[in-house]
Amino acid sequence: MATAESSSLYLKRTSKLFRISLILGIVALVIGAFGVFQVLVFGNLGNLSTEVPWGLWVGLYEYFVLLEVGAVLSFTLLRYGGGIKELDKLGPIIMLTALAALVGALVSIFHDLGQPFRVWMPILRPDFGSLLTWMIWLHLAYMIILIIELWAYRFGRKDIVKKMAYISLPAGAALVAVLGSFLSVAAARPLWNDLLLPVVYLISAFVVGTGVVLLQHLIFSPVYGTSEYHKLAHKLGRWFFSWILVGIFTALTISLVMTYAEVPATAAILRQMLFGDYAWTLWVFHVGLGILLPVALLFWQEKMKTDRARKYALGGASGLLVLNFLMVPMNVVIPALAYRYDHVRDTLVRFEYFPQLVEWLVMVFVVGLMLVIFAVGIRLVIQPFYRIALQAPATATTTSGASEDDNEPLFNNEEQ
Amino acid sequence: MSTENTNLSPDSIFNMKKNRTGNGHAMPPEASEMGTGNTGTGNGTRKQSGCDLSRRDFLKSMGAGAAVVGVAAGCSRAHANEGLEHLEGTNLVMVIDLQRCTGCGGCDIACKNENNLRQGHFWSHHITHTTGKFPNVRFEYLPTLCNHCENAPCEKACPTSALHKVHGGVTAHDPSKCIGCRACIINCPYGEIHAHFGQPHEEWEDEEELIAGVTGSAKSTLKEVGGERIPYYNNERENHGLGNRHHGIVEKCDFCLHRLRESKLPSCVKRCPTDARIFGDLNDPNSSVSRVLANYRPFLRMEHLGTRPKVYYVRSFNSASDYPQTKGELAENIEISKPAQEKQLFG
Repeated sequence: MATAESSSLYLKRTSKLFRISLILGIVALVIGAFGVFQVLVFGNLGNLSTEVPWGLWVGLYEYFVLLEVGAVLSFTLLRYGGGIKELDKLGPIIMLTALAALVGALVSIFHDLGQPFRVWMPILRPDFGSLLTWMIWLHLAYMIILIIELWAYRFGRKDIVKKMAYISLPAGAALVAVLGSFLSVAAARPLWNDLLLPVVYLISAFVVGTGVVLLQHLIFSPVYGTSEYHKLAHKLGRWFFSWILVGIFTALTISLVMTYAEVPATAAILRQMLFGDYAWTLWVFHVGLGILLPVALLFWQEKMKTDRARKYALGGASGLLVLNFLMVPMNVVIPALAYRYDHVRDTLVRFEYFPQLVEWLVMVFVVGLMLVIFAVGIRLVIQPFYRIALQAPATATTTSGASEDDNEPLFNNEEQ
Repeated sequence: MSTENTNLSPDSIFNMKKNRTGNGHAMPPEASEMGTGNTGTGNGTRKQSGCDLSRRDFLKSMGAGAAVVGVAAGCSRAHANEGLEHLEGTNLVMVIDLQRCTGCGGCDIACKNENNLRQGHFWSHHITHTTGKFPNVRFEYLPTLCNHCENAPCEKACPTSALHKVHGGVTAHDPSKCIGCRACIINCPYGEIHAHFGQPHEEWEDEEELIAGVTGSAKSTLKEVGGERIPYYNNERENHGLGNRHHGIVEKCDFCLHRLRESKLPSCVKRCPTDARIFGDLNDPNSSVSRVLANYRPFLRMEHLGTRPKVYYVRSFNSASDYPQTKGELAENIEISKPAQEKQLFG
């Protein structure tokens, strides 16, 4: 049974994380507010243009969608598919992370709209022939699922948690698939017009999602520092590594097929991505810091002797991948727009795009908002959840007709 | 309009439909076209209808609660065809005869004036392409505009139906519904949709002189001419859509719907000095477009994408009579045959 000492330590630690998130979040909100003001009052849309109509904000949106869906899908797959019951302790943190990312995604894309105050139109007067409408509606559905799930965690309703987890699987998969399909169906953009793109997005979600689960376990696990903690971290590290390998395989396959086929429109853009002026974003952030270094750290940690060193290696690997994963949607979205193949002249036309200050400021604002939501969530959900979960199994709330499994407490603290 | 092309007059093009429906609009006198209606003092931000929602409108409607539903209903698609009833059942297309086109760019200018387009925006534009080495050079000039595709990817991508089809198969844009997501720009393979960022015609606020001490600034020119926002403003454009587009939305060619609703030809067609642009109803077997397309196999831009464009190109620049009959030659003979070839080609 959990001791009063260990529970008090955990509450203390989460309170500390609450304060850090809140302070950092408020600072970021204040800094970023200038950019938001510029966008909403003066309609400053940075460096976006007719030629490059989407940029940093859409990339950021896609990144947060991959995070929000990836975290929940990976968690559900690991917990219910992989049968890792120890992950129950991490459930509310994952849902909270997903909710913060979802808000981040919606706020990012809100600023990208030329007429942001008309955002209600696709909700009240939707055209379901558009994949964008589906994306908006799936987002709303996903938000409701996450809020219900967090509420269920908050009040110890394991039966609802489980049901929502099962519902979140198809909803999340559909959201990511629609996100990928939205680009994939654009025949005007040869780099995106690929049958595999929705699948690539789903795999990407699992890669970054497993990274988020690992990272959150390392930071927020209630069994921090115990043998169970290190065992689970090691197990999650293996899953993470496996998903990275699947991701590398997918990315390499697509790139090699495109290069080999040498269809002018795609090959020319791909060459620019690999060797053009902005190739450093791909090689340094995406490949170097986002893939190779995490893979090296994951290899390295297997040979480490102390749990502490392993923890830092796993934390470094997951943190690096999750952060640098921002370059994945960036390198999908921006090059396809900045380079356009002119079929009449049979040549590649280049349009200049690099995010302006206002775009970066909005990004800072969005991150700040996510941190504040996360901090508030720690106070409103995580800490109450932990208090409830510490209660004896007999007092766990159940509903009539729930299975025996549902009658178990949200997590078992026997090992503590 | 030239006499040889009398069959292309607006009257004849729309007559058939008028007879069918019986509710065709009377052809207004030619004098009511560009000129008398163009005062140069139009308000650049005037809105066309009450269903155009600004931020303030939105906040008001939020406060009024149910008013949102009412406003939304007012903007329904039923209104999209208002004034275009006489085009019901038609399939309006444009044929561009590349042999007739001299590349003067008159269509681009006519379009800019007609639709009050801002600097850098062209609803009617062109692509030029030069190939070869002097003296064997080929120069191509391809007039371009929105293709009003039957399977329009922009319309499919639009989450609010701001881009929609109206009678005649024209792809129209409702600025009051546009949220500025730019999904249409992403999906248009032809690059014919423009994002309107900033205030209308803000370039005319520029006080910098092009050549200091020699030329005036844009602002001084505007002041001298007496225009508001732009020196020249065609307020007829307000008959369908906005006279000027505002910040954050997209804009594109709509085959001059404000003219079509008055049974007038699109401005680029009307102003083309060589009648290279031919416009009409493809559903009518006797229309000029039907007759031209029956005689010449057209090519369509990026036909392989399946968008089914409604702008057809006929008679590309080089006809077979431009080069002498030949079976070609091996590489080593090229130098030998070159003088003879040049003589044949250039006299």
